[in-house]
Amino acid sequence: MSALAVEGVSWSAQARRIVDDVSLRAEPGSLVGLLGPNGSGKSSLLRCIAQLRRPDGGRVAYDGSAADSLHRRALARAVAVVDQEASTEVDVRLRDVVALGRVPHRDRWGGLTARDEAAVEQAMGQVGVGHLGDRRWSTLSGGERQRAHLARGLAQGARCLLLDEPTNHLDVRHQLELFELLAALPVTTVAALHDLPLAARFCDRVVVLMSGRVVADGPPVEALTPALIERVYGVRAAVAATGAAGWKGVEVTYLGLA
Amino acid sequence: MTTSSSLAAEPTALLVAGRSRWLGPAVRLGAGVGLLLVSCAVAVCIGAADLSVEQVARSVAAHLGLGTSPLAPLADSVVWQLRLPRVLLAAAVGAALALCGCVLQALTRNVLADPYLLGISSGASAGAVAVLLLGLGAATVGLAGGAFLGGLLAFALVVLLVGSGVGTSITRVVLTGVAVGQLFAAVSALLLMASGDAQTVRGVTYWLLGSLSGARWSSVALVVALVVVGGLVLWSRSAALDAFTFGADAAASLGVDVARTRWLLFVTTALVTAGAVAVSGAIAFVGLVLPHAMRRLVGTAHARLLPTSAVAGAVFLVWADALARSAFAPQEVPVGVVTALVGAPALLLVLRSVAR
Repeated sequence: MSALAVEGVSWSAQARRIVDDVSLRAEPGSLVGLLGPNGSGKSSLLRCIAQLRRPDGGRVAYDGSAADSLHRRALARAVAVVDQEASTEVDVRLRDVVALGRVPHRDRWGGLTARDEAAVEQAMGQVGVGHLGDRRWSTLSGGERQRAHLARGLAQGARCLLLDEPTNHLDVRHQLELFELLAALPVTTVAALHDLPLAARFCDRVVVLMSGRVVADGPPVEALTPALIERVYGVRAAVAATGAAGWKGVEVTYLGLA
Repeated sequence: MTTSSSLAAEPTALLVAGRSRWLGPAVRLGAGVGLLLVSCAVAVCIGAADLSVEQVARSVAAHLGLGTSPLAPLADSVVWQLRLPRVLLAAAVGAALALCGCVLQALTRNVLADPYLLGISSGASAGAVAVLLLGLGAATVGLAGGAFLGGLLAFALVVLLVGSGVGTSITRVVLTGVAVGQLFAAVSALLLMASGDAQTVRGVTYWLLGSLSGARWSSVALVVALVVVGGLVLWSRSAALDAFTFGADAAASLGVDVARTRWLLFVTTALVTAGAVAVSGAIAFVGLVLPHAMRRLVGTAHARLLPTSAVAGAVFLVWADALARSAFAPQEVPVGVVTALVGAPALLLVLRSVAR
């Protein structure tokens, strides 16, 4: 059974079809890259999958149970969302942000339990912000904030993780570390990505969107062809299989504008 | 990024950390409550009639069924009918305003939100003035009902004018609140001009500035009940309030029923604010400044922030009112003037820390 199954999901805003009859599957523990140019509907699709937007049609199921039949808290324990532009005016400490991930696990009258604390500490350690716990939000860099949000998503303890451009503020080292972490964790991840070389290297599967429709779906080695990249992005690229250790997929090199 | 597996980290260390984490806030909150009790006791002894601490204490004890009062009936009623209800009302109103400020700031994701700046207090004032002058029943409950409707109307208007997605931009929300507040202040003034005789106008104007001089046991009971019940409702949603830190979508993805929670919290806030305004008028800045100061002290988690702010608001208003009563004795300054004198500079400090 797929950890996540999306069937025929569509979503419109102001009479414009943003997500158009999208189906995709993610196997347990796999990393699925959601690719496509700006405005192709990646973020909207993630919101539909997370039930933050009600799709006009179609079905979303986690581990076989329909997402819209799950109670909110149960859903929040099954799937964690890390948005690309979550900001705040409140000068929270980084640790408090990560602790938000425990909200779906908390009793109404209780504070954080030792178990919650441990999950928070572990998540902070996993994304390398363990030493920044007491820092105020306004003093953190874009990359540190992004990693704090990732830690919050991990602390949520969900089996499924939905990430919207998780690497756009990260330096090269932190990008690689994040993907190695995602590959090592047993969680199922769907991540909207702009970085084709990274997606090609680490993803078990890529789903390519154009104008809200799926135009390619499969392992990078099958789905990411030069013809497809040229059609979707208007960019010429070379795609080469590589045997280097740790490379799951293919090597994408940009050659220039098409 | 080390993939550590420290979920089973040394249990004793966790236990110790856990205990001190909960002991610390409990002790601090206990200290706060102690400070509140002492403040109330001192404030009861302050006033125009020259009464000693012992006389006041024995008078209060007598009313609680312990011994007999040493005071003449007149002095005794000064303590029991004037001073004590007034001090307790100051505490209850201060707690109410600070609680509401805290919650509004979280819900609108706006550091400047408070019942006064968002126009709720003015709306509640206008509602109460309407009840008072149109003779719709001037009992405490009638006033509170009018204040509640007015406050809710003002708040609904602010939400409507700001548009979808409460908490878009700080400037927008605050300017809308100021505009709505001015509108309702004008409505109050108009009602006064139209139907008030000179005596009523003076009394009501005094009250519009925020004053606790009308304190009675019935008003104390009303606001204390609202603070206790409303406070528990708000506190029970601490985790949801935390979840709103990064907006409605983030809260929803953390399992919060956003629409229902917002309604529950807004209506509760309007109700508590209205109760406070109905008996004391529109007292400015308590709801704005105290939650900020307390965030610095105990952090941003609402499970701690709400009770701390309530206690701090209570202590603050007890002292502000004691000052209002005694600074220019026998003349009395409306307590709203005192809180504004303290609050306006504090607001500037808040704005500076936001601008940073």
